[in-house]
Amino acid sequence: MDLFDFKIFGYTAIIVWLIGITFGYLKNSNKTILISGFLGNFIIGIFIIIYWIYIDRPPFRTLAETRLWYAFFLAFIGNILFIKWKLKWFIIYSFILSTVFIFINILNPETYNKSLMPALQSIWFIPHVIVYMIAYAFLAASFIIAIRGIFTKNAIDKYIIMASNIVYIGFGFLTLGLLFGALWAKKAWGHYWTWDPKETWAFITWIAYLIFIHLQPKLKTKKTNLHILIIAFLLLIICWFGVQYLPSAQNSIHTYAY
Amino acid sequence: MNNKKQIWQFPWQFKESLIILSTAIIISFILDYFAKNSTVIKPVFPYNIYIILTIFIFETLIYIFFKKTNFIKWLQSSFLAISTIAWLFILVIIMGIFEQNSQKEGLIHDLHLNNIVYSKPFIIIELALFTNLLIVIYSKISEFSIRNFSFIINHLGILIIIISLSFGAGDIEKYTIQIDKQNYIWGASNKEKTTELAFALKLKDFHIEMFPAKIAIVENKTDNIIDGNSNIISANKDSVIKFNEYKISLQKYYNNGVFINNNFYSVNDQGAAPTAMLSIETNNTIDTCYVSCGSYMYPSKFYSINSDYTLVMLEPEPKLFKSDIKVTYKNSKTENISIEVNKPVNIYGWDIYQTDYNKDMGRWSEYSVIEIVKDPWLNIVYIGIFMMIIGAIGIIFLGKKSN
Repeated sequence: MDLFDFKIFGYTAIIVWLIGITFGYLKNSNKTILISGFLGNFIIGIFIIIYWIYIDRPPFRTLAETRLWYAFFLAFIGNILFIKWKLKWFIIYSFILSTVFIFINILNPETYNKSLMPALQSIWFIPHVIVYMIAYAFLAASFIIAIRGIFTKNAIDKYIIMASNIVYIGFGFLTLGLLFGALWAKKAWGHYWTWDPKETWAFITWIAYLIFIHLQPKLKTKKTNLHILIIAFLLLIICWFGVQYLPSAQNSIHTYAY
Repeated sequence: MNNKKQIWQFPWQFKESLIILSTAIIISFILDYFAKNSTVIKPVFPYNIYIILTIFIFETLIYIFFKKTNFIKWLQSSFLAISTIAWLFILVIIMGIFEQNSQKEGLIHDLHLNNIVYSKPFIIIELALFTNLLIVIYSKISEFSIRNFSFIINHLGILIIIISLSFGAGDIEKYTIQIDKQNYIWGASNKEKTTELAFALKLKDFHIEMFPAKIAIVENKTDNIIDGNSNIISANKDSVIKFNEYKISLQKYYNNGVFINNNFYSVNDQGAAPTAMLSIETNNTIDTCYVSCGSYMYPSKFYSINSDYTLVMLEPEPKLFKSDIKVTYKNSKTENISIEVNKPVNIYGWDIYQTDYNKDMGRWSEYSVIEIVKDPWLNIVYIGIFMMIIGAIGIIFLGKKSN
């Protein structure tokens, strides 16, 4: 067995979650769900560590590597919020989303590239990407709640309050990611803000959540809140995976991230 | 009883905010359209300071004398904030779709959609944000609480950054210079202007380190590399490619190799290129071959496994490149500095960056390309960024105000 094979870790984590949720549901045991949740999380965490050691550089460079962290943080946040709110549907959705990202990585095995170009060799590299992945995971959690809220007839205010609590945390991290990126850009490219397409889209995502934060107290419990969260998350996905396909990105300096 | 608020009746809310702002933006788009080729000129020192002070004093006085009026309440309202952010959102989306600073013709060019930062609508948004943020900060400053502190530090941080970005842009000087070992460079120029420096730069030594090159299999028909981890080996360890009936293993890796008359020599000469010795095993044969990525002096060397596939060495990727530079000052003092990517050095207010080298020549590059940047507003921006970092931590820990 090759310890470095992601498939083994990915499938094990998914199976652990499946078993945990099934038994947890049947026996109505939150403990089972939680133990399996953290166990699956732990398995992905172990893989990240092995991978980090193997490639001999911090694993934050490629899109597949960001998906790996994302799967990890999303499941982790799912677990933490489960402890807080005991919402079974939420932890299931976060495992499903996490599983989707694990599957994408299993289906598109990466050509492991150990080299790290000079522009990425910086103390800002790790904090910048980690903080972004944490932000993305929290904002995905708010997206899950928004989707669920849209299909509910009553108690919509409950979903809006829950989602906005999470958005605040996610937005805080998103801001940190943007600022760390600016500080890094000054060292690497000579200016803290160059309106590079990836920067522009990161800013668009940030503004979308900024609008939510300012608008929500005015809209109170209107459904529009949830629609904004869904649109904001779609913009986030464009920023993460879609920028390379845009005509505006032909001269982007963020090319290594694709 | 009809207590529904009529439009333009105070307090102004979304409708009024959107109408006022949208009218201003549309007019400025129209102005841009008729003044096709004029872009906004970013003010330079000291005029930018005059403009900032004028706006600042004017708005402060207005706040002091009229803070109880409905109009000032509107200026600090989140209705105006949201409308402004919404318009900013639209403008930035345009930036995200159309390539900026590109040559375009027709409506995109006439409306400055390919140069939003220098368009009039963008200025309107900057001014609206300036006003809205300043006045809301004044209104919050009077009552102190942890939550208000977090609010103020966030909004003041962003205000400082917006002011520096919009009014400070004209003061930024940026030049790309090519330096070599022969001549001292005393000045720099770009499209807009030429400047004389208080120091001169000369390349002492250019140094580059490469990651070990990779060896891959190319399909002759398509010219594509056969992907996947097992088909590409990095030349720094005993790795093996198993491909169809072949087992290809690395025997030796030379950082410097040349081929003369089909013989291989490991020499540290100009143009010597990374070269690998490989063995190719099938069930009954073992072959040995050399592959090399070549250099500006020598062609690359590959090996045909059979009529369909070829073994090649990929160009190695740079790990580090660094320029040792001799700096001479006007009082004829000299100093040696060393710059590399992500590690600029500051001399007399100029940040000096390593950006490029002669890529064809690789490690024999006879010149180094550096960029020198002077941004007098930088420390102010850092204050803004620092405030926003504190503010963001505040958002994470204080969370949402329960309503």
